[in-house]
Amino acid sequence: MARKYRLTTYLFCSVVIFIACLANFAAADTNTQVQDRFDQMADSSASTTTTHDLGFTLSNNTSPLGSIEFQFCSNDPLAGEPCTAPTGFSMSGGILSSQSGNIGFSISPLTSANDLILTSNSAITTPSLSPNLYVISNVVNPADVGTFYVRIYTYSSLDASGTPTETGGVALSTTTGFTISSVVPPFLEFCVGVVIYNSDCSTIDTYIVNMGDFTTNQTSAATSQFLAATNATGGYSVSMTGTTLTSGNNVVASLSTPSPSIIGQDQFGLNLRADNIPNVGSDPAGQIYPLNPSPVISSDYDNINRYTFNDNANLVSIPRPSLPVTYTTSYITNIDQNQPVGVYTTTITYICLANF
Amino acid sequence: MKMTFNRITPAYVVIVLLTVLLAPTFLLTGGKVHASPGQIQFRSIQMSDDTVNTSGSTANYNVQFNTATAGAIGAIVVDFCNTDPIPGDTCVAPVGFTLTGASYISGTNTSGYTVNTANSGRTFEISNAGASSLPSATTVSFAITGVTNPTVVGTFYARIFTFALPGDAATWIAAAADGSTTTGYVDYGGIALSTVQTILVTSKIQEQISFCVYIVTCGTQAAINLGDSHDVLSISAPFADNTTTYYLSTNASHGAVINLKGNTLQSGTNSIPAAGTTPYLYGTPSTNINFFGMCSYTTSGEVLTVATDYVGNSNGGSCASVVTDTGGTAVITSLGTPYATFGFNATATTSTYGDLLATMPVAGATIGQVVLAAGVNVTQPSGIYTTTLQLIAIGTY
Repeated sequence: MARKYRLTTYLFCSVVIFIACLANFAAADTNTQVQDRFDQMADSSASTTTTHDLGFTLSNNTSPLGSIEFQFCSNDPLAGEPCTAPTGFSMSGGILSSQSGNIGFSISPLTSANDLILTSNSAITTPSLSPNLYVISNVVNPADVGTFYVRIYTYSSLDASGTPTETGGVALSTTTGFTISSVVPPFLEFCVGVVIYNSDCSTIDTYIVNMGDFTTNQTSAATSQFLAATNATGGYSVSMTGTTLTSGNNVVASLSTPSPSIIGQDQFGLNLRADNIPNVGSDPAGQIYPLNPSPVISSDYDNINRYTFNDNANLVSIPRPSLPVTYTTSYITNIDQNQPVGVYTTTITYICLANF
Repeated sequence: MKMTFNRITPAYVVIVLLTVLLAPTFLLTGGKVHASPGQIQFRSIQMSDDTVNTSGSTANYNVQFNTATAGAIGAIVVDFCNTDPIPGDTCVAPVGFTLTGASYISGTNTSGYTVNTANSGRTFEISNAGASSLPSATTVSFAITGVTNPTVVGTFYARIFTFALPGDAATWIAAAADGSTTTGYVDYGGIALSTVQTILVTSKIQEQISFCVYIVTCGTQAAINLGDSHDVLSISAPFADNTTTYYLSTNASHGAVINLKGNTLQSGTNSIPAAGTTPYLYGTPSTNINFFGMCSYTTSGEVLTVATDYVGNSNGGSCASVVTDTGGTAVITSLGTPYATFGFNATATTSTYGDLLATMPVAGATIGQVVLAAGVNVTQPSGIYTTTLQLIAIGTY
């Protein structure tokens, strides 16, 4: 009778244990998934050391939360499956930079290269269902370009042991960046014409300045323009070469120093300013006002109502790269009563030198 | 004494024997002569669900056969048994099987019948006193609805009987509750049925993401030379490049985002100004444009929601209209008419996680295009300008 009782007891216990094992297996296999889970990398380049933002939201809070495991695998994100560590990936030096949601976790000494375990001093009895975010810096990405996975497990235990309460997978990918190359060449934009519209050299349509008929009782005035721009670090300078007005052997005397225009005297000169005696010319102008950098006009040609002309004279300079600036040259001519009759002409050449 | 009637004995015996042999064939009952039952042909019962009943759900049985005997069918009885389909054998209902609550849906030549169940849910009857006469070999069908399948896996049987009159069926049913009565029906036929176990299929669909940036094929790094045939940028108009493609495929249930990370074109300490958060609009004439920027659009698959800075339509143009400049002189018409605009939020693109380029709101696959453009003004320091940009895909599962 006693033996029969013992056999019955053994059988009952075996059945109980078997049922318990089945229940445990079922729990591991069908536990709920963490929601809204992701891993945002600050840099998705292979082998780079970067930050991973690991986020998820618990589906329910019926189980305490004592530890969290993030397992990185190259084969799949399926909980409970064998995990192959991604080549080159390392969480060993990972630092828990910040955490939100369910907090109070630290990196467990149980953490390995591909298995990050966050543990707390005591399990959170009723964990929050708000989004959790754990920022792990100093993570070395896999050496291979392509997809790899994170498996997320939550546990009631403090050491990621036992049956996970929730699980979830995340797929992410390392990528190669794309490179862009361009060349910016040295630029020097310079042109001369009678009129330049809108800082556009293509608007020039003539290079001949007609000063009209000279008389002894009126100043002849005219203008031409030149435009300069460069990306030369030292900016540019503009000079001019040429002669005064000539007609065969006859000349109109040039003004060697800045002088006012005097009717009835023999004078040929120019400057780069807006004058009112006579009313001619404009100050330098560009796409922006005030000009920046501001051009430096040589002192001889920077005087309003004062004109001069000297061969090989420096006209203007700018010490830095500059957007287009349009300069207006104001020419004046006066003759006295002894000026021989003739057609007076000159060719003035403007030279721009960029200092790269 | 010797018998001498040997010569006449054979004729007498033949008559007697014929009488004996024919006797079972013709029976005088109430003045009517009934033919012997025929076997219905092409008989079948199609079950809508042949799984073992474990949940209390019911199935429909579609009954069909061809009559063997001409005449009106006043009633049809289907008797479900667990041992055999042979009329006359004792019929026991299959375990768990019941017709309680069953009804019928008329089919071929079975309209106007009324339903009855008997024998504790084992026997199903439909009857119609006004049924029309049918020729032999006529198809008859109807469906029994609300049948509770047996609770055990395996074969069970149905016996189908047709009766000339509803009263004949009632008599047959009343004569023996075990279904063993063999009289009164016109035609009969047996059918074997079987319940089976369902097939449990378990599969796992894992989280997936596939993402790459390329020019020719996925897996080859994209390298773009932005400029003329010597990669030189122009002061007259932007150079554009529309060759960079990205492919994203994911089953992330909450979709995915693509972030842009990196800086504008740089050469040492010099950089080409980023187009910024207000997509760059060019002046007229289109000179002195100094910017680096990009826009993006979907070429196929799930439609991406491109971030405002990069959608490219601030001037009424379209990012997809941009044509790659292939050397020669830069012209603004390469950017489409009206021209597309470009953005590049360098503050965001150089932040920890970069700037949002596009969102794929649902799981799926998409192919997108990145269009790059850069122009310089005359003050942009000369040099070789480069940058490496990174697109980062993040799926939320």
